Amino acid sequence: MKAAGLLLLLTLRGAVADDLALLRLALTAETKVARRGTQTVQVQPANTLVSSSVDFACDGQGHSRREHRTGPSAGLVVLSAAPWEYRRQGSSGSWFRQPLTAGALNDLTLASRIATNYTLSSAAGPTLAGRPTTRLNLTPKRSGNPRRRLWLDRASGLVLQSETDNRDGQFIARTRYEAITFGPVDAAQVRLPADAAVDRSTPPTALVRYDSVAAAEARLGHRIDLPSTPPAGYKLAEVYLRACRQGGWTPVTTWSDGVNRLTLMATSGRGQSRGRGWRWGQRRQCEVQPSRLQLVVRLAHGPGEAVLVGDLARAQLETMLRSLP
Amino acid sequence: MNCEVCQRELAAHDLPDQPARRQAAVEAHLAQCPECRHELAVLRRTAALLASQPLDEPPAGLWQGVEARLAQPTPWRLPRWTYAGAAALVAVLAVAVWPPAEEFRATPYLRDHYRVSLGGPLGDAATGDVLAALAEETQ
Ligand SMILES: [Zn+2]
Repeated sequence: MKAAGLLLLLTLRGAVADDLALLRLALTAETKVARRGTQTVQVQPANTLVSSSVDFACDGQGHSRREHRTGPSAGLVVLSAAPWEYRRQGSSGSWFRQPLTAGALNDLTLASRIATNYTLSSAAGPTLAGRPTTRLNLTPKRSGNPRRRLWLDRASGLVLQSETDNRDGQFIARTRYEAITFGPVDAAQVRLPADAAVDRSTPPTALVRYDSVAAAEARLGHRIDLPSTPPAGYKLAEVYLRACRQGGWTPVTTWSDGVNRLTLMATSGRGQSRGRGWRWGQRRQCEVQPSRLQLVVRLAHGPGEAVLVGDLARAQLETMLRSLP
Repeated sequence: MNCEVCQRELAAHDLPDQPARRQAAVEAHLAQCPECRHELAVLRRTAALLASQPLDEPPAGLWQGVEARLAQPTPWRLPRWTYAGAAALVAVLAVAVWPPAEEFRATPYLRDHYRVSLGGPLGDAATGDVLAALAEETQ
């Protein structure tokens, strides 16, 4: 009896270790498997499902290209080459350069962060785009967090399909390959042409990424207020400064549990609301704008407001905002 | 090459079309590091497991759970007004919840959130593009 229990325990432990290794394979395959194919992106912001078709190519060496053929982002072309991403709307005109978010970068530590906050489980999956798959479930260990399901190609570990349910368990997004071909892709297909016109100027509402909070503070000229109580499992991921239309910069920080991300932004002031019957009421009262995709929570802070956006239970977002100094 | 760098490269070690120089550096490190050799063995065992699993049911049933929750089947290509409709609904919901005298516009914050926080290494880079475009339409 004892031996059987021990054997079961060992088997379970083995399964957990294997699921973590599966996740690592999936994260690595995203940038290191050369392929081209067509993806369908489906998002459900309300009752209607919105679909887009996207041509995708990756050279397996850090360069990828996606072109939106249909849907709300039709015409958008994105070339990724860490640490930059180049975007162009339509077939002509300038490419706009912006930093690739860390969410798009692989890291060994990302897999362990995910495993800390999510229970991993796997099962056999169906054939997708002609490829046998394994399903990997990422179930949050804490309530109020979104849930992910991944379908991995059995030969490479590549994610062929990804689905997300929101904090309340409602379906919100799916990305899947409809067709895929593995193997080398033409460099010209995924790299920025040598003669491409790149607009490196700072657009009026640009986000500029900094390597550290200290670096952003040095540019800003004052301290950046950070919440003392982020939701359990979440850590500071990145820091940006956002250019304001009125001039000047405001800080933007992202917070991640490895899968889900929250964005904390400061506004420069509440000038727009003045003299229009706007009553703030209690200073520490949060205002919440809900949607199926994410909540937008804001709170008076300093001379302006702090705005927190994310797909997480309202109480956890409010606690985080209220923990600002 | 140190262990951290090596282990980051290991998952791609057996994949085709990898740069030869990097593969050689990994091999050189593996030759003198038992810890990384063990790590490679775990990854290979997992990859073998991945390849040897039986297939699940036919894909026909795959979408049932999700599709059943949708009010109506949606045509594959939607006319542009449908996106505008979805965006408008989001906007209407927003107006209904904020105090009426309020002039706060969430759109710029939503757009920036999607730009920096959505789409990532789990096969969904394009999702953030679509959501950011939807947020623009609510302007
Ligand atoms: Zn080593």
